[in-house]
Amino acid sequence: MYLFKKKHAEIPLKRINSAVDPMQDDEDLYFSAKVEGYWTTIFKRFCRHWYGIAGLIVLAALIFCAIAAPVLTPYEYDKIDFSAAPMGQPQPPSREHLFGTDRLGRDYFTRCLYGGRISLLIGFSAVAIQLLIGIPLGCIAGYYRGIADQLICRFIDFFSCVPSTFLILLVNALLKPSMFNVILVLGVFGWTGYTRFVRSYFLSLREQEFVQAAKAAGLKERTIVFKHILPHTLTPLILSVSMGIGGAILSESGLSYLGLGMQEPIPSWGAMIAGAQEYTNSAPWLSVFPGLMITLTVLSLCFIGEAFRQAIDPRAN
Amino acid sequence: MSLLEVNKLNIGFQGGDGLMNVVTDLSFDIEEGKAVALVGESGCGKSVTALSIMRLLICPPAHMEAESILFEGKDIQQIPERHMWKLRGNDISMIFQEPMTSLNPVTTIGKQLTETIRQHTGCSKKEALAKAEDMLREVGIPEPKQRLREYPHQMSGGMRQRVMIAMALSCDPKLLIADEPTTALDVTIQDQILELIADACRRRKMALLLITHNMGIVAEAADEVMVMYAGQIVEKASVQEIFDTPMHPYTNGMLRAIPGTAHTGEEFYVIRGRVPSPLFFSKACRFAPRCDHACERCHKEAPQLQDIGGGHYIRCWNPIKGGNANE
Repeated sequence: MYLFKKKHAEIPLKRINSAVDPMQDDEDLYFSAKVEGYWTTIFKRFCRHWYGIAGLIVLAALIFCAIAAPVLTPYEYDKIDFSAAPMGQPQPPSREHLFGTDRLGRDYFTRCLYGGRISLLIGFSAVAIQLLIGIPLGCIAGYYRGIADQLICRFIDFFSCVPSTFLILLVNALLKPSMFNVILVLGVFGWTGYTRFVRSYFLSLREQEFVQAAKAAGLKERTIVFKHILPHTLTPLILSVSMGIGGAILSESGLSYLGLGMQEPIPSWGAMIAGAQEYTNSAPWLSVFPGLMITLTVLSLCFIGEAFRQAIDPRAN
Repeated sequence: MSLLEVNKLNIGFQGGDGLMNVVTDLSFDIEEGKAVALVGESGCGKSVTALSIMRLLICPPAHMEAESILFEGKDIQQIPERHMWKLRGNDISMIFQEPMTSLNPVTTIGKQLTETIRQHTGCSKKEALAKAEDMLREVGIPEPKQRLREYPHQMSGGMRQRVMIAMALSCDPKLLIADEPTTALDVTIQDQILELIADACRRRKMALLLITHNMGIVAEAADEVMVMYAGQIVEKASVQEIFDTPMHPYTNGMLRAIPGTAHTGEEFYVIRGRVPSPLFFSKACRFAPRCDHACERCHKEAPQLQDIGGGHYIRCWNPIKGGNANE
């Protein structure tokens, strides 16, 4: 009972102090509360969904493992050790090698960790480039319409006519295969989806009454586009971004599979699965483990995306 | 000099069958601090008139032409689009019909209010918030501090319209255009909102262009009334004159069609027919086909808006003498 009383006693005390200059203190309280308020609310709402937290933990763990790879494993990713793979036969998971070894005796756990570095980096950066190109173009096409819209749309049409895989292959074959080039190629050829997405939302949103009201209030077009319309597309965009990152990781796998992605001995999840092709029956763990990594990444991203989407939508409860 | 002077405003829409003329040769002016009501049926061109004054009509498909639209002596048409924002929200504000959709659903009330205030005054965030709070208090929203942090969906329709009014008033405009501000609200709230608008105008000496089809609202809030039919002003007079001695058969009919308690048991009076589509506007008097008073001349020649004394204008060949609206 005493504790209870004390807890309540503190509040009036604060009020008395603030009575010296109520307006000033009130204002400060308001502002400090507001700055924090928005993101705290978002975070609280995010935490309401178990899958959001689960996804966040798994993704954080994956990123941590990728970054802390040298500390987490005593092996090196490119150290060939034939004694660990007698007769060039991949070894199954054991105490020394958690995920087993590949045919060159390299520790597969180590390679999975280092592969995460490449794959995650490619996934995130490629999508970042796609968004950087795609969103502004979508805004312009959808909001301003006219000749800009025509040009952008025809350009997207052109991209959709030519299978992008071939374009990517072509460009990547001309460029020297490296991580930077893979990111660039995936980024530069993958933005059309986001543009179309943002554009379609803008087309319907620009006709909405609140846009007209914002114009009537004298807001500048830039403010209307970025502060009033774009936030509406954010909710659905987040989901497609979380899928897109997974997609970029898989595209990199495809490139690596064709030998146009990461080159040996640098591991990436996609390249590792590609390399494990011939051992699907005799050493399935070689494809299962990197596959599991990709699945975990994509799944956790989807979970995070869904939870975040619900958290930022003011109408969802 | 009037605050707003519209001369020969024509608005059309480009359709498949050519240009549909929705508003024809509309001229009127609004004195400083006066409340003018623009009354007419749906589709007679009230809202497009309001939008064209704000230059918010999307052209094309709309097509707008006017001899001049003078605001404080400056022609609005001459202002380049990139400078229009200085006028909108600052000198001329607008309240829309649908409070449900005219606020951005994903942004807080506070952000939307402060954005407008900061855009026009360039003040700090803190000052803008204080101003926004004052405005909310002025329009009668309790706990304004709390409300600033809320989203539109957390408020009722009446509250949202109050927020819209607060936003419109926040930069002390000289002219407020209210486009059917109470149509979407329920009856008990309508009165409060109307009172609020009228009151704010009186206190700030702000001119009001009230667009409505509700004669009750006109009687309550307006000083002067313009009755619009099929894209033309058919009668223009002080509110007293319109209600006491409506001369145009259309105005007269409209007033007679208001259900009252005096004639219980009688059949409702209706103006027969419908508003014609802009494609079929008559070359002569546009109201003649529906008019009970139409004479031969009405079907042949187009009447002009003429002064019949005392600032009472009508567009009619055969006006009703003596005004028998409520007989």
